[in-house]
Amino acid sequence: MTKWLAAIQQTMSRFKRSMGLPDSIGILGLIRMCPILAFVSLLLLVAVGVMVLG
Amino acid sequence: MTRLPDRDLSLEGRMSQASGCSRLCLILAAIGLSMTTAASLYTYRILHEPLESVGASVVSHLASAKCTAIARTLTALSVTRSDVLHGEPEGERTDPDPNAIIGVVTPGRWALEDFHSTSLTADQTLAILKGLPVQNPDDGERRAVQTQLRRATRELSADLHQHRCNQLGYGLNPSAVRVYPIPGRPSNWLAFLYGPLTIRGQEKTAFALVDLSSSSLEISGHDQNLEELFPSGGVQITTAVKLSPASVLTNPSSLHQDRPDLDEEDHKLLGLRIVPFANQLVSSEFSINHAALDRISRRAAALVFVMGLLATTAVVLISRSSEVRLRRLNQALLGESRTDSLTRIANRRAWDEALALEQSRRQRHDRPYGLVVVDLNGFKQINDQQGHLIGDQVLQSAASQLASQLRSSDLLARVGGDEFALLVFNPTAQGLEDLVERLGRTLKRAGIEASIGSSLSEANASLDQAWAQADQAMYRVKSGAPGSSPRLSPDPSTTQLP
Repeated sequence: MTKWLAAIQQTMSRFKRSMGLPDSIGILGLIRMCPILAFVSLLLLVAVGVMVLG
Repeated sequence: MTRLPDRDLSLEGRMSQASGCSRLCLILAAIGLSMTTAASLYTYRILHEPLESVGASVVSHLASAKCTAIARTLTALSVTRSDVLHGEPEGERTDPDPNAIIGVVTPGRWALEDFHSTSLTADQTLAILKGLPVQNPDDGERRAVQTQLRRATRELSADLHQHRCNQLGYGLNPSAVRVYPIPGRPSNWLAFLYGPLTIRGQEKTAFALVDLSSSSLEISGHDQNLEELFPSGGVQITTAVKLSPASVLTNPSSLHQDRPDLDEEDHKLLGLRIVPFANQLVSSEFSINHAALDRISRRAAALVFVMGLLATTAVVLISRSSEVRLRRLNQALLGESRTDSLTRIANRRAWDEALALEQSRRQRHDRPYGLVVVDLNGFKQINDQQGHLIGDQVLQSAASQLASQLRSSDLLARVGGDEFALLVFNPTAQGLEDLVERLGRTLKRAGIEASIGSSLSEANASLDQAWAQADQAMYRVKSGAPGSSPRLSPDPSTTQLP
């Protein structure tokens, strides 16, 4: 579990670096910095919900 | 004050660098979202309509199959009753449905006559019949078992009574046929009862026990998975047969027009008189589950949407990542283009830009600027005698020593081969003089000889003019000591340092 968490954190950190964002930025900061990403994520969530729940 | 671009971006710098979306990202996201939405809608459309069509086709087929089964059963019931009444009619024998158990029973003695069965034994048949209201139709009503025909619409009942349906060729009145579910059997089993009829002093009831599932999906060879498209599976599929019995009875060809999917046999059945009745029987048993059909299309469209969104996200992220990398590179190049590669301080371009920028700022706040020009003495000789490598080291050392004496708001630039310039913000005359002395001492400690000239900007002169004055002051110092030992000048604006 810890290994998974570490992997997720590492991926997030890499993602933030590639986006030119500091590591200390949180989810809200991400949403503020990348509104399109937040919007697409929301759409993705809804679409997966429709796909799974029918 | 102007400073060289910092290559290690601060938190704010990185945030501002990443904030907002470039036009390219927005365009890519818009294109991706539009294409994804269009693809999803198209997927929904191309799936939904054929599925509805397949569903309608299957339902129609099943309706037709059940219609045929019921019509055959009624015909066989009629023939069976005719057998008992009159003996088997010659040349008009209709084979009973292989899935139907057909016969005549004497309710009082529970004796089976003219019994045709392919699957049930006589005992099993009698056991079923004893559970049904064979003798008195009212018993059925008391048990809340309704006949299908009693559910018939008023129009159909009128049709059945007013048209030729009253006599099905063998004296069978379809209105008098009762249809019951069979207790203990699956719901697809139906019991058709006609009677009781008094024949030669005895009451007899013609019956048919039919398993209508024989005409369901399994038999018709359709995909079992299609059953989920219908409520409660294939057995209880229901359909609304939109057929007007009245029009069929008055114009038999209208049946073929309305129901081209019906088998040829259906059209022949007793001159079409029985089909409306059979249709009425099955009318409440079939229907397409539109929600299930829609769910399949919706899920497929959502899957396409998810894939499209993932692809769009990937493209946008890759594009954004490349863009950030490009911005960083541009930032580095920008910094590099304004940095002297040897001494790592500002170069002439940065100096000129800074001078222009500070000139415009000065018009707002009118603070003084100090211009200092430093020229190394005998640098050419060092290069010629000791080589360029040593000359470079002298330049680096001079730059390093000069920078160590400056505030962070001041600018040091290498403006010529061995010439440095300093822009000092808001100095006093005494402060500028002290600075010049400090610079001279620092260079001297490093073993570097230099001529230093300085100038304080005047209110009515530009920074370029102040720089020119500082330059002239430096040349005065240099010409005053053409040798190799510069010395401090009594004029605060001109200083020669050893």
